[in-house]
Amino acid sequence: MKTHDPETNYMSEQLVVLEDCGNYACITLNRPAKQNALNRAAQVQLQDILKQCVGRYAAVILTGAGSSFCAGVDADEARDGSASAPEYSRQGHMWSETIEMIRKHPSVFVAAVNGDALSDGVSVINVCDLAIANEAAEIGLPEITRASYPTIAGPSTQLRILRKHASWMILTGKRIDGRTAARWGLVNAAVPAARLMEEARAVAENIAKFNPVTVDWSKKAIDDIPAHVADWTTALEYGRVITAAIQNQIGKENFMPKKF
Amino acid sequence: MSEDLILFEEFENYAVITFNRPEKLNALSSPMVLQLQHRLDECRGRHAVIVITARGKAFCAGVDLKERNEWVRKGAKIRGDNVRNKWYDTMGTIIRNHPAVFIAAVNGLALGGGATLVNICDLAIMAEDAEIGVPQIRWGIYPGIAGASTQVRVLHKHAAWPILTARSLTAADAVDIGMVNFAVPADKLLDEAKALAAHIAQFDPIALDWCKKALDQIPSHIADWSVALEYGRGVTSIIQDQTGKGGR
Repeated sequence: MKTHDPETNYMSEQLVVLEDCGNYACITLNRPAKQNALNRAAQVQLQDILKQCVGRYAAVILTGAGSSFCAGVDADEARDGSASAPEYSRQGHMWSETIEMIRKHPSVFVAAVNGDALSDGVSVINVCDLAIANEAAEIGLPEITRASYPTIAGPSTQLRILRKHASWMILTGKRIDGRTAARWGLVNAAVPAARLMEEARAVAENIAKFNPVTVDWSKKAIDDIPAHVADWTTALEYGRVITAAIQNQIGKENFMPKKF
Repeated sequence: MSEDLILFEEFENYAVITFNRPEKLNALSSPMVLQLQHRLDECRGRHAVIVITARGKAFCAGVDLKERNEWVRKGAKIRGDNVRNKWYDTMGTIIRNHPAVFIAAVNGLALGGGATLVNICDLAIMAEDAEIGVPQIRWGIYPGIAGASTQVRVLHKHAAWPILTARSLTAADAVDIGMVNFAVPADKLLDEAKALAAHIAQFDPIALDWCKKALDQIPSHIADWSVALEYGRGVTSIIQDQTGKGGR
């Protein structure tokens, strides 16, 4: 087996780039030669950047450098033996941890799907609160072609779109384009590639104007209903609790409109 | 049992089941559902993909009401001795727990039980001129199985519309709300369904079976994000264990 420590080898490279845009940030997956597949080193950098963003930005854009959005977790690294068995097992954990960090992050995440999103690239779209796609981007879960179930991208897709649409992606392994993804609600909108970043920045700037405490609680409420609170009356009560929590934290004077 | 109410055709790695009671709009009679159950049983472990379609103008007009009403007049004896219960078992457990991937090729009108069949199939293709309906409210009843199965497949407002208005959904409507995957001209329907079946049948049958199970579990049983992701890792481990393949 090769002696190979990806962290020391790649740490000097910027595999993930953070751009400070004032009240919002833009995170770019920067491994274009590998279709922005996230190897261990890239995930370490992404996790560090996510931590840096906590409490600093109300909105964060996630996008990819070059012509791909994200080809998932780097499969080559697992296959070429550079990751030993226990490390491979940790890597499985590592990816769900990375995804969980985004889910629990106080910022609103906007995926700007600039190009192909495959396998775990789709789980990145799913965990982002909002997503805008290049209409020509191809999105797919090819795992079934390799006799497997999309470990993280499968369940996260099933939680986001309707059954027939999830079945299509998981059972056929076929790719859909950005326009279809918008029709299915996997992303919010599909736009021509040239307009993508402009649209994503407009969304992020708009959200960044809102009260960050309110944004954080709203994100939590969206995550909880209907996933945890599926009953109508309980959901409405939960909504009142969320509103009360926000009022309590930011003060009534900021909450009430100045004029009626 | 002498009549072939269910036609069965086997291809290299998938099968096509065809409802064959066109003069009754493929309404489900007891012998017909029984024949269907036998065919489904035969397919277990033999075919990874099954296409369900029908002969004639209709896909399936639901449970044969004439037969059901006679049974009601005679009075219930044991559970399972009437067409409705047999159909309920077929939809509720047999197809759901079947290892094959099911594709509905909706050639024409799908009413009541026909709509349930569309809902239980993993994928569905529809002829452009076909319609789906759950018109039971007209007779003062709630579409027990067809309504409920629609509610667990599409969004709330989209399920409420056909249930409360009794209006049929066109193929375009059904595609829009995600009740079927896509619509094609009627003369291309079967070819499209077979091509899709052959495409899916090239994949590992164990992986397909577990993918189907995972689709059934999330979100209906597992709605929590973190638990769903952990379940995904479990499914992948089981597939690797059973296929002996160390893919990702």
